[in-house]
Order: sequence, then structure tokens, then C-alpha cells
Amino acid sequence: MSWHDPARSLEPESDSILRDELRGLLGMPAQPANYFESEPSPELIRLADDLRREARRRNHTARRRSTWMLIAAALPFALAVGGVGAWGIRQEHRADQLAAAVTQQASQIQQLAAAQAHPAPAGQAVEAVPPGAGARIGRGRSAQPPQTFLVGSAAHPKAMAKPAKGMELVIAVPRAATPDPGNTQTVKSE
Amino acid sequence: MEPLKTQTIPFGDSHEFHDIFAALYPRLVSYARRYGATYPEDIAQEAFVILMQRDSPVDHPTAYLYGTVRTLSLTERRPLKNQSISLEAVVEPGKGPDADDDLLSQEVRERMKALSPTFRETLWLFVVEDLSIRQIAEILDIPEATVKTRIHRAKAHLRNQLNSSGGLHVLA
Repeated sequence: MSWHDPARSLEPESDSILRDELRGLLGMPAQPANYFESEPSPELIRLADDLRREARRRNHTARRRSTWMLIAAALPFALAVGGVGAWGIRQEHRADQLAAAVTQQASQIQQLAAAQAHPAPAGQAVEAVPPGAGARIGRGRSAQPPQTFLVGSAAHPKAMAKPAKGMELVIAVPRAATPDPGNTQTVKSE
Repeated sequence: MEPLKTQTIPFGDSHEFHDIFAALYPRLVSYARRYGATYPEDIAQEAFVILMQRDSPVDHPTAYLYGTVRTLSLTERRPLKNQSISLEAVVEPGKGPDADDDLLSQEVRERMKALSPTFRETLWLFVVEDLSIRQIAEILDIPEATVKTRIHRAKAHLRNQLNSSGGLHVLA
């Protein structure tokens, strides 16, 4: 680092003329005091040396953060973000699988119901438990009359009020007098 | 104009550094005082330490020192919410005997006061501190063209001022 500043020493002549002109306008003497001709006093020399020592001390004591330290500091955050991301992806994949299984199961049930409904004419009662479906009536409802599937217009009166969209399979379930948590029916397809 | 290639050894010559320090330190203290610094000596010393602490050398050390002093002085005044303060507002109060009093007569100071703050700051650096336009641009962090424009406008203001007051004898 040179103190002989090139920006000052190589100043265009027009700038020097402008400076002299401004000095004249301000009523200042034409020749400026030269910066680099001062005689340093002992106090200033001591101060300069002290400042130089202070700069060296700061250079030695200043904590320098290198690149690998920054990487090491950022590593836990990166791992946490990566872990959460992987967990989320795994959960999404699992949810997709479950949704596909539910859809497949629903379509199987519909196919099964359609297969059972086709041989029977519309409005005719069909035996409740299809042989292939493995339907099982709960323990508490074993004494009740067998369930029936009503196809088409012979279904529940409420269902009849709705506009028919093709063939529907309606399972008529007699409503219990009191709510019974055990009053359930499980249909299992094999 | 191509600037000269600067040396890369910072403050290698102790004698040279002492001379430069003796010449610049009082001016930097005065410059900090003009910005209303409470401890202008500390700010000037801190500027030197910051410059010497740098790993990479700067192209214009004088401009760097002035710029650092200006920044530190304004930062010191930040709690007072006077960031826009400039040379004009702080020249007079609390000003002790220093180099500026020797440099500037009362007449000069009155003429400088008549200028707008922006022009006065630029003119001060150009004429009183004897810095180049490039250095001033670096200190104030503005383009060189802006510095030139400000100086020329300041010159026009000074001319108008002298014409109106009949003070053209100064030019003679």
C-alpha cells in the first residue's frame, strides 16, 4: 500500500486549475499546505506505533471464520431439513399406497355387487349374503331376518325419489330402536 | 489516466508511515470533529487501525481514511438521529483551535457557509483537504461526474455571491 496516492499525483491539469480558481474565489492562498512535509512529533510517533501494534494484535486475535467452519455449523440444519424431507416423502408414498388400496377395494366390492345383481331381475329380492363375499353378520344380529339386496326401483322409498343413474344396489338395513354400538355388519371379501 | 500500480507491502517503511501519520492524523481529527464526533481523536485512530488491519491493500489510502472517519463519525451520531447532518451543521459548535483555523480565514468560512451543505462538503474536500476528484468520489461514495458537477455548481454559487456583494477584488 503506497501512500503516494496516484489519484492525487496524476490529477488532470484542469482539476488543478479548477482548484486554484476556487481558492481564489474563496480568498485562500494559492499554494496549499503539503500533507507529506510535516515533521512528526515524538507523541505522534508513539501514537502511530501504538496504533500499528493494535492493528497487529487485532489481526492475531481476530477470529477468522473459515469455510469449513461455516459448513460444519450449517451441517446440523442441513441434516434436519433432509430428515424432515425424507420423512415427508415416505409419508406421502404411504398415503398414496393406502389410497390405491382403498380404491381397489371399493372397485372390487362394486364389481362383486354388480355380478350379484345381474342375474336377478329388477325389483326382485336377492339373498343377502353372496356366497363368494364371505359376508358375516354380527353376533348380536344373528336372530334378525336375513338382509336383502334390493335392486333398482324396489329399493327404499327415499332412494326411489332420487333420479336413477343406471343400476344401483341398495342394502336395506332395519333401523334399530336404540343406538347399539354393536349393531354392525362386516362384509369381508375374500 | 491509468493509476499507478500500488505497492502491496502495507506500512513497510516505518519512517514513511510516521510522516504520513503526522500529516494526516490532525486533519482526520479535524474532519471527524466537523461531523460532530464526540471523540474525534478516537475515530481518527480507529480509522488508522482499520486501514492497517486490512488483509488486502487499498488503492487510495488517504481516501479510505477520510471515508472511514466520515462513516465512523456519522455512526457515532446515529442515536441522535442526525444522519443527514453534514459539515455545515457542525463546523462551529465546540470547535477548538486546530488546523482548520489556520487554514481558513473568517472570510472564507463565511463564503463556505453560504453554500448548500452538499456543495460545501464537496468543495471542502476538494479545496481545503486538497483531495482529488476520484478520492472525493470514493469518500462520498458517489460517481466522479457528480463530484465534478457539485464543484462546478459551488463555483457558480461563489461567483454569484461575489458579484452580488461586489467582492470581485478577491480575484484580482
